[in-house]
Amino acid sequence: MSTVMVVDDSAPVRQQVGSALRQAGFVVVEAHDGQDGIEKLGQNPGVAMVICDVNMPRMTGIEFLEKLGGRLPVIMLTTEGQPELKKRAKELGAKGWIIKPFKPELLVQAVNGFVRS
Amino acid sequence: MPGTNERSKGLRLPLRAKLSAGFVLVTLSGGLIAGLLVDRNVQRTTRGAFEDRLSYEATMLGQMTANALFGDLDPNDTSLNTPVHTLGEAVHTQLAVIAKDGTLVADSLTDDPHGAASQASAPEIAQARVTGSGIGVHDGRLYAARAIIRDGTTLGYARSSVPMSEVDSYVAGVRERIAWGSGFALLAAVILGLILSSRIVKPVQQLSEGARRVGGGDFDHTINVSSRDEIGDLAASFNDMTGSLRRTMRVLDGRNHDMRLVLDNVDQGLLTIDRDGVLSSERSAAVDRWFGPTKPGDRFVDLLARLDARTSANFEIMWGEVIDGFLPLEVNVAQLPKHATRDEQELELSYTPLLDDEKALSKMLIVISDVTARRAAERSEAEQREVACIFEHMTRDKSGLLEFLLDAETQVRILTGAVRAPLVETKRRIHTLKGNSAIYGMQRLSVLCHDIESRMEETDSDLSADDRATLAKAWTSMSQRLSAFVGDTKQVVIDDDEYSAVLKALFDGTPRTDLARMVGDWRMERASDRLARFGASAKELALRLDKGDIAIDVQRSLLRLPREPWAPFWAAFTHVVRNAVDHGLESAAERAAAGKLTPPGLRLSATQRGSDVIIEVTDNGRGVDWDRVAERAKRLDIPSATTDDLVTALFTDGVSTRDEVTQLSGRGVGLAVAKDACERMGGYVSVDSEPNKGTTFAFHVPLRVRCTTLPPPRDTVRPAASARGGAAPLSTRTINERARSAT
Repeated sequence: MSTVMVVDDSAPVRQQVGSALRQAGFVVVEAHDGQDGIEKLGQNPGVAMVICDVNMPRMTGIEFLEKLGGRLPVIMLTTEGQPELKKRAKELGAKGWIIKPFKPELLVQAVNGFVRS
Repeated sequence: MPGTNERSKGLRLPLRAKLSAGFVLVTLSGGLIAGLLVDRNVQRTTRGAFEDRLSYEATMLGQMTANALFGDLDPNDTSLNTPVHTLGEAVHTQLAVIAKDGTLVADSLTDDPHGAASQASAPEIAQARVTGSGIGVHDGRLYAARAIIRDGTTLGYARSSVPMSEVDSYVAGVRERIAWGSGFALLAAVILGLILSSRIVKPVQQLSEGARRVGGGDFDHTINVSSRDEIGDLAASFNDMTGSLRRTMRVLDGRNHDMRLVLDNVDQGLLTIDRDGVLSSERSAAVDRWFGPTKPGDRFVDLLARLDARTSANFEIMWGEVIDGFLPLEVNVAQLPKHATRDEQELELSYTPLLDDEKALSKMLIVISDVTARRAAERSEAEQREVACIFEHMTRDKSGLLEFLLDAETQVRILTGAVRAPLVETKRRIHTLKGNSAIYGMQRLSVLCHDIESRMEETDSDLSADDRATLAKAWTSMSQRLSAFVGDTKQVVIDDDEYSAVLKALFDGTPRTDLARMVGDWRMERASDRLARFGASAKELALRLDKGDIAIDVQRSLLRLPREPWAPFWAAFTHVVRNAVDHGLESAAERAAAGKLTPPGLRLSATQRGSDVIIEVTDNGRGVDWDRVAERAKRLDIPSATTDDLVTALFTDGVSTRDEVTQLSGRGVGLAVAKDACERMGGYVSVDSEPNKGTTFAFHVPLRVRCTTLPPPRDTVRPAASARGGAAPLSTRTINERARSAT
């Protein structure tokens, strides 16, 4: 079973993403911002990929990507538009993004493209 | 075609030249070989012929001599001289008669043969001595000798000779004639070759020209080649092929025409783009109609930009994703923009990936539909539904609606104004507007507020200019429609109880000032009416949220409250009621699991207690999950140690005990707004909650806000009549007790 980390300051989003992935057979680690994400990555070396929000307190998704330095595949959660942000995320190694609001099955499909449950 | 290009490079030699050169080459080499063979034969046969002639002459001479002799040939015989001379001149040959010992007896070219050397060693003589005849070449001449034999005895030798130069010049003459003959033959061969190659090449050229014209699209071209050979067959096949192509093209043209008819008349924009995003040439006329003229090589994203720059930018980003292919194709395709708008026109886009044999994306089919009319119809239908709903609210509760309109007007003005309030305040306003517009049936406004709220949450920023414009527009159109049927607001409605109370006061001789106040209060709003409205909307909400048909118990009272000072509180109170339904009450399944037999219910009351008015909302739901509140408080970095801290935390923006944002509540904003409004009137809030039993939110507001006092408190508070509303009596303990038992 692969482990996926969900980094989002919104509990509802974390819950939505988490439950969709758990149902698909993934182990999910939740983090409520970038800083928490980096800490939890230290505690969970088995994390295979990350799903990450952009706007978060303490450490944003972009800062998180910078810190991660491309070690793991990351899918960003964004809203429609924001071309500059997407460009920046792409430069920092984000593999793609899921536009909010999203269908859970789409997210699972995207994650399955990188790691298998 | 690459083959054509390759062939066109390098030296080009016409077929005619090749054929002619071939003929010449073949003729030349044939002639050369024949010449060499003939040459060798000419030399040999010419010499043979000379030898034969000489042998024949020698034989004749020998025979003649033999007849003339009676015994052996005398070497000194001179009688033979004359006949040999005569004969030699006649045959243009040197004739000689030689004695057995080799002495030259007579020679047609010499008058004095006896002076000549002995011919005994001449090879032809030596040979004739042995075999009877001999041939020899010496001293520049060709000799043939014959033994002169009679009765088996050799008498001497007869010899004939010619100079070798004569033989050679004869050979040269033959060679010259052969050369001339060959030259003429070669010339004839070349001319014949040219004529033949021309005859071969001409139909081939016709075929080539025909193929070129057919290749250029002239399928009506036929080739007139009448030659009855393979080329004629080829031409016939070629004509058959063009005929067949012509028929196929006619069918295809017909289909193309039909297809074009479809594409020109279909209402949808149909087009395909390749992996570079470039449009293919075939597309429906609607595409050109909506996006304007296109030229080959145009990209779809540029077309889209003519209509809707934002959608075009989104498309460009997502198309990049589709091509990069990091995420599965379906995921990326699902995230391509689906709407584009320009002015009033709304287009809907749908995408179908076209895959190649390796299942990789080769093209994308894009279907664009103009949904302007459909959307307008949907909008107008929604508007009508909304108007009906608002009208219903108005007939039921005109004053409530008017108050909402007044409040909403203010909120919208502030939200869309140039002066920006702190973000948290703006968020509250949007949240309040969302909730209240939903209560009064203004679904679209509520949905709009929800969307704006979501965006603000996501980007953690103020309303965008777009948001403000949209909100202002929505509100203006809404208020314009409402003004048509919201008429006079000046009317006073009193209850029978109130009428009786004033009548009684009159009979009892109550002081005039008190009576005046009682009648004056009629202009104020009855709190229970207000609560009844909240109750009705809570009931609807509960149905929508699958909480079942909840029991609403509104405590009757004659308490009247002034509209204006209380308006902000009531606006915020919406959230408290919604919160109670959405968060407080469990679903039927949860209640059953928790062993709760009583139906879910809500009790709403407004009472006067001492100098305070207390507005209470009580649910018989799950109770506040204080552990969760504490956990969230920690995350928000606000105190959570004491129970007061927890109450404060519960009422702080951003603290919600639900893990799911619904359109109605759940962002942790509502309670804070209500607490704020209450405190602005100098009041305070309290929470009583017991796990699995229920929660009471109480808002204590000092009476001075009421402005006027109530008639005798006899009717102000009625006991909780469970029978009326159906809600079970709620057991409440204070938060302090709960906290004590928990710690």
